[in-house]
Amino acid sequence: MNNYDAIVVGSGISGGWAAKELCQKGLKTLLLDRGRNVEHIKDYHMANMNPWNFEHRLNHSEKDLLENPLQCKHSDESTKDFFAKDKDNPYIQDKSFNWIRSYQVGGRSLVWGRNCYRLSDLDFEANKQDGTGIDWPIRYKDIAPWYDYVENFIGVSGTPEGLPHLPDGPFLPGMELNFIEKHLAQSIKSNYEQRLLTIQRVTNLTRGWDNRGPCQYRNLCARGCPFGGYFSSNSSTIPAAMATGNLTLRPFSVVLEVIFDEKLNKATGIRVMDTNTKETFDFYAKIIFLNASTIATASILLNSRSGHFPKGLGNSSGQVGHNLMDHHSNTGATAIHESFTDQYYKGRRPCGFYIPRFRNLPGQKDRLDFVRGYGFQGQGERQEWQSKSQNIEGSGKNFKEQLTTPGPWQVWMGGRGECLPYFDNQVSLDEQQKDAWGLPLVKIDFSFRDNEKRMAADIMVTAADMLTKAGFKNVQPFNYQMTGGDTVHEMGTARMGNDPKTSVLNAYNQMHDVKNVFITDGSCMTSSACQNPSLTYMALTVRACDYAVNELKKGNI
Amino acid sequence: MNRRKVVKFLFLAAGATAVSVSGYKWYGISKKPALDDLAGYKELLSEMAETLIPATDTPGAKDALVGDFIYKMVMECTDKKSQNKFLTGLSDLEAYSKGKYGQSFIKCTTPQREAILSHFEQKGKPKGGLMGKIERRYLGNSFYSTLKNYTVTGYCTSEPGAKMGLAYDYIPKQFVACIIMYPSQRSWATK
Repeated sequence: MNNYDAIVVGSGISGGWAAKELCQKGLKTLLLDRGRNVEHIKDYHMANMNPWNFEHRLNHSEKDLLENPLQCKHSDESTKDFFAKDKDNPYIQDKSFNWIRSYQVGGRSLVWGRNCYRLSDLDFEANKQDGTGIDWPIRYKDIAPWYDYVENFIGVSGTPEGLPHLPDGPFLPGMELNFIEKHLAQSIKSNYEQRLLTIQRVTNLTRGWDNRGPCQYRNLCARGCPFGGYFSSNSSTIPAAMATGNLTLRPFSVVLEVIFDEKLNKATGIRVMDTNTKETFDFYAKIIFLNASTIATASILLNSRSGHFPKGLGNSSGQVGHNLMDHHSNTGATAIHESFTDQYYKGRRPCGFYIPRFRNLPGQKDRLDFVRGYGFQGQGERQEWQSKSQNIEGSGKNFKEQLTTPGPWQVWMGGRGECLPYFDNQVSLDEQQKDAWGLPLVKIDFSFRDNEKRMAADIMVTAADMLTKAGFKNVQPFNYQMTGGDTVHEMGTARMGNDPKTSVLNAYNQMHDVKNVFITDGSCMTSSACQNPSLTYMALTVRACDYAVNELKKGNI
Repeated sequence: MNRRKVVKFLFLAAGATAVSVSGYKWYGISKKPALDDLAGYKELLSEMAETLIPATDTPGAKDALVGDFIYKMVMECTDKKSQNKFLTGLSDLEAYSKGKYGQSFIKCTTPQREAILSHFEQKGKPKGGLMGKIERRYLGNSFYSTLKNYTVTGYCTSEPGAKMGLAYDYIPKQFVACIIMYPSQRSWATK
C-alpha cells in the first residue's frame, strides 16, 4: 500500500511536471502536498465573482492585515486563500526576508506571474566568466530541446525577437501592445541600439491549446481560471498525470524527512505527517523528486539527518541552504503622457510589456559599475478611477465626471535584476523553536549586496531616460524598499555543479551524494539570471525525469 | 547617514514630536475608538457620499448604497488611528455645519454641503513626500482622505456604479489593443 515507483514532494509548478512525466513514463507515482486539494475549476470559488460580490470589495480587513501582513501584500480579498497565512506558518528572519508561500495542491502555480523566458549561454556561462560562485554544469544546448518540449505543452504566447540572449520558442501569437506601449516601443527602437520593447511571454493562451482556453481577457488569473486560460499544475500537469492512472495524490501531507538507508546508500522513502490527524506515515519508492520550493526543499534536506549525513541529506558539500537568491525588483520609473487622449483599449490583457536585458551584453564597451543585467516589466494604461481620484478635488457633478472618464496615459516600468549567489545568504533550521508539526522553524538570513544595489540605481536612470526620450511628462523614478523574497523568485539552496565538493546536484539535478534523489525546483539554480525562472525549472524537471527513468531502467539507481 | 537611516531618524523624530507637541491629541487618536457611535452617523455618511458623487444621468452614491459601505469599511478595514480621526471628523463636521449654517449637514443645500466638504478637504489634504508619509504612519489618515477613498471605492465597485457610472466588461472575450474613444466614453470599472 505504501510502496510506489516514485514520490514527488510538492505539487507546484515543477512538482506537477515531475508527476506528469514520471506517470507518463509508467511509474506508479505518489504526489505529496502539505496543503488542501484544489481541483481545476471546481475549487476556484472566487473566479466568477464581481467586485460588488465581495464583502470588502477586494480589500483586506484590518484583522487580516495585522495577522497576515505578507499574505495580504501579495493578495486581495479574492486570492488570499491561495496564499499561506503568516500567523499559522511562522519563520525566523535574521534579516528582513518576505517568504511568500502557497500551501495547497498546485502551490504557487495558481497565482504566479505566468512570464516565461529562456535562459541562454550568456546566463549559463556568467559565473565562469566573472568568477562568481561555481560554473553551471550545463549549457543552453543541453536544455534547449526541453524548453521546446515544455513550451509546446503549456502554451506560451509571445513575439519572436531573434535575440541570442533571450532565445525564442514555439510561441502562440503574442498579445498586442496598446497605443502608448507601441509609442514607447517605437521610441526605444529609434533611440537605442540593442534595446527593444516586446509583449511579455506568458502562459496565457491566445488560442485554444491542449483543451484549454483561450484566455477571455478578464485578468483575474490568480483566482484560478475557469476557462483554463493559463498554465498551472491544477489546470494542466496534474490532470495529465491523473489520466495515466498512475498517480496517487495525497494532500494534507507535510514532509518530516527523507528516509535514508545507510547500507543501501539510498533514500528509501519519505516520512510525512498528516496535517489533519497528526499521524505519521512512511511511504517508499525507488526514486524521489523534491519539488517543495527552494526554501522548503532546503529545510527538508537539513532536517533529514542521519549518522551518514549529520549536516542533512546529501550535504557533504556543506552547500545545502546556502547561496539563496531572489531577483530585485524595487526600482523603476513611472510617467504620464499628455497626448493620444482619443485612444483607449477594450478587454483586460493579463500581461504587460517586457524590455529584455540590454546591459553587459557581449561586445558592449560601456563601463558599468556592476556585472550581469536586468530586464524591465511594465504596463501602459489610461488612468482610471483608482489612480485618478487622488488628483481630483472638490465634489459633485464635476468631480463625478472626472472620476468616471479616462485620464492621461500612464506607463509604469520596474526592473527585474539578477542577484549573485552569496554563500552567506542562507536558509538554516532553528534548534529550539518548532512549528505546529514539530518541525524546526526555518531561519532565513539574506541581504542584497553592492552589485544588486548599483544595478538597482542604474535601473532608475535608464527607465527615466527611456520615458523622457519618448516624450513622457512627470517622469518619476521610484526606489521602494529592497527586501529579499518580494519578487517571489527564491532559488539556489541546493545548486547544480560538476564538483561534488562545491555543489549538491549534478548536471541532471541528481544529488551527488544520494543517486536516487532529484531536486528540480528553484533550489537547483547555480545563478539567477534576470529572467523569470519558472520555465527553466520546468525544462530542468523534464530533463531530469527523462534521465532518472533511463537510469532506473539501466539498473543504475 | 544613508537614506534608510535618515528615514528612520525622521520617523523617530516625527513620532517624538507628535507625542511631545500634544499628548492630548496623541491620546485622542490612539485610544480605543468609540465605534458604537458610528451607527448613529449612517445617514450622514450616505448624504456626504451623495454630495461627493451625486445622481446625474447615471446613479449616484446613494443608489450604490455607499453609506453602508463606508460604515463597513471604517468598522472592519481601517486602522485604529484613522478610525479615531474619522469619528472626530464626523462630529467636527456637524459642529462646523451648525456653526456656519445653523443646521446639520443633512439639512444643508447642495452648495452649502459642497462648501463644507471643501473646507474639510483643504484641512485634511494628505501631505506629499516623506513628511506626509511620516504623518500618515503616526497619525493615521485624515478624516477627509478616509471619506473620499471609501466613497470612491464604494461607488466604483458597486453594481450601479460599475455598470452605469463606469463601463463594466464582465467577460471581454477579446483584447482590442487600440480603439478610438467615442464621445462620453466612460472609464473601465476594473483593470
